[in-house]
Amino acid sequence: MHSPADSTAPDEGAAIATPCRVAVAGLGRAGLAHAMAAAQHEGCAVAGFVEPRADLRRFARAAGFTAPAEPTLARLLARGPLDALIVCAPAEARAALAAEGLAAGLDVLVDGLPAFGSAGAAGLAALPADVRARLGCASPALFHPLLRRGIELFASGALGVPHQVRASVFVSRVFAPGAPPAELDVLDFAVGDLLLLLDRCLGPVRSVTASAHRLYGARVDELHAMLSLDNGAEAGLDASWSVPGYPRAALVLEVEGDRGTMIASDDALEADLTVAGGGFEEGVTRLSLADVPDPLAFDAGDVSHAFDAFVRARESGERCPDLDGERAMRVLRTLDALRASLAAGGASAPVSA
Amino acid sequence: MSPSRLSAPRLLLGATCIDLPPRTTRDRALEVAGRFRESESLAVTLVKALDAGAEAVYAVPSPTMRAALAELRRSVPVLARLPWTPPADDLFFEHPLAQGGTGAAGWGALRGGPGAIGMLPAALTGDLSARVASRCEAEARFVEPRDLCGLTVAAPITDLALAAGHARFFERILAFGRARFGGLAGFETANLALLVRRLHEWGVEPDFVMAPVNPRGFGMRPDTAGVLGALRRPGIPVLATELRAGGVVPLEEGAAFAREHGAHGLVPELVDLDDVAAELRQLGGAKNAAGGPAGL
Repeated sequence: MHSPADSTAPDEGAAIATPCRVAVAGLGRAGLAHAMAAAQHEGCAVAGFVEPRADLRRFARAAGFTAPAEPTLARLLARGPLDALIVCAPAEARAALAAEGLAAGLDVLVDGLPAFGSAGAAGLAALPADVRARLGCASPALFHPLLRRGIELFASGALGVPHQVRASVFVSRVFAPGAPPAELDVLDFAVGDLLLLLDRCLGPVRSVTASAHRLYGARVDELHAMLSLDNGAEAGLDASWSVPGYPRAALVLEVEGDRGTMIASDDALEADLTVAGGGFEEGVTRLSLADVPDPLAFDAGDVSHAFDAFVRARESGERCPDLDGERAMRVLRTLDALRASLAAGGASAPVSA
Repeated sequence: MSPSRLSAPRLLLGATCIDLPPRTTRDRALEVAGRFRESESLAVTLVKALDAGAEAVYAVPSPTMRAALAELRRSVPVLARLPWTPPADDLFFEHPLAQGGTGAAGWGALRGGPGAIGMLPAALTGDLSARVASRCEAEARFVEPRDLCGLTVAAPITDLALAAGHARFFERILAFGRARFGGLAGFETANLALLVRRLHEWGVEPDFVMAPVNPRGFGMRPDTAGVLGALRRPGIPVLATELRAGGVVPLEEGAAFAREHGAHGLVPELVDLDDVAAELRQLGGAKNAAGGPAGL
């Protein structure tokens, strides 16, 4: 056995001549996952990291990443040009970093929502629309192969006019050793992804009513809400992070239309159509994860598909509807409305425009 | 592979699905989690699996597994999947290995002996291998030392080092794992084709690698052809997981596919098995009929 080299350049053998120079801001779990995805993407080169904490910068180097790491984006930009910024910082810092990246002319992808509510993303909202158009926000829910197939089925019109919609997310987290951080609740942790999925399928929310259960302290552990959508439909929403048996978040979207029903989840996609459409036969069809194509050159975890879509959208110059930053801003306003309704004892709260 | 080294196992019982998100239907996952909620049930199943031909249990150091092992008075060989990467890590911003395991304190966390001494330079620089080694050392205490038959580096850590092109990590952690974990050391991965290619380039020879192999191409990265190519390459034994492709393929079909394409061993998970003893006995019988020597 010969002695291995110290390292192999992660982007060695990259297939294209002008790879996208990507910087990752925030070197926590999500940031490292994006660094992994970028390092192994044929269209990318990892050009640097932004992380104010020295221990996390050291950890990225310890893991083998050799790109420069700086505490601020300005310092990284001073070292050389970048094309794109992936923002994976803690929620309270994401919007400011994204706004800074956009102002510097970069294409920006935010991992998740840019903040916990619209107040935290005010800096982004204030940017001109053409600048904000370069903002993408990634939710794994919109890139899950089964949920994507469900989105396509709904968009095909095969279900007809929706008259009943239910959406839920269940995950087991309040039992976790060490317990969740005090500042989180189920809205912050899980509801955003579900709202992004609903908005992608059914469009914006107009108003909400919400009630909550606080089982393990002051924070919200379970949420029940009714959403009135711009298209006239009503959607029920249930969320809990205190249900045992769900190590991974289980997202479910059920739609009853006048031509069929659909239950889409990260577990299976079931369609029952009165008329064939959307690539589905008439009658009941059930797909599991192994039944749908899921190509991926390198699996870096949940972030992989969204990152790949971001890079491909840049290459093609076409917007990826699943990364729409404006949708993320709408979802922040919907989260505000849910909290407002909870504070008002379940009264209807409008989603601000 | 050195002739003096232990050989990779041919048949393991995978018990990681109780604590990690299993790739199966939610109903099935909940059913299996419910079945093994009592540690006695899991303990009995582990014993049945060993009696039916499994050479070891592939397990994580979760409270569930600790409790089950504590129930037993007999030896249960364990191939440990470390570091422990619980799903609830996603509540936190930091990577779980970002803290600890660095500098002299990190090295001090390792028990003495050749494994620790070899890790000293990495510990002083805070290298990933030292952080992983120190976590493995602490977490392996869920198993009696005499029962530990090997170390499998968990896929999220393997793939982190793989993506970063960190060749030294693989060399160092193999030396450490072999010295400290019963002689066998390997890597679990979600990116088998790339891992095998890089390991060959780097001249790193683990005792095994572990990755999804099934007739549907489920979880096989970058694609089925790439994984089957990796299986054909000599030198690094592959232990096949996800044999049932998330529950859509019969176990026998998945096992036959994996063996036919060159998998050295099989790791059916508890979610893949209805009658643990009977199905493992059947797989073990097929193994013996195929003429494969028992590992470990």
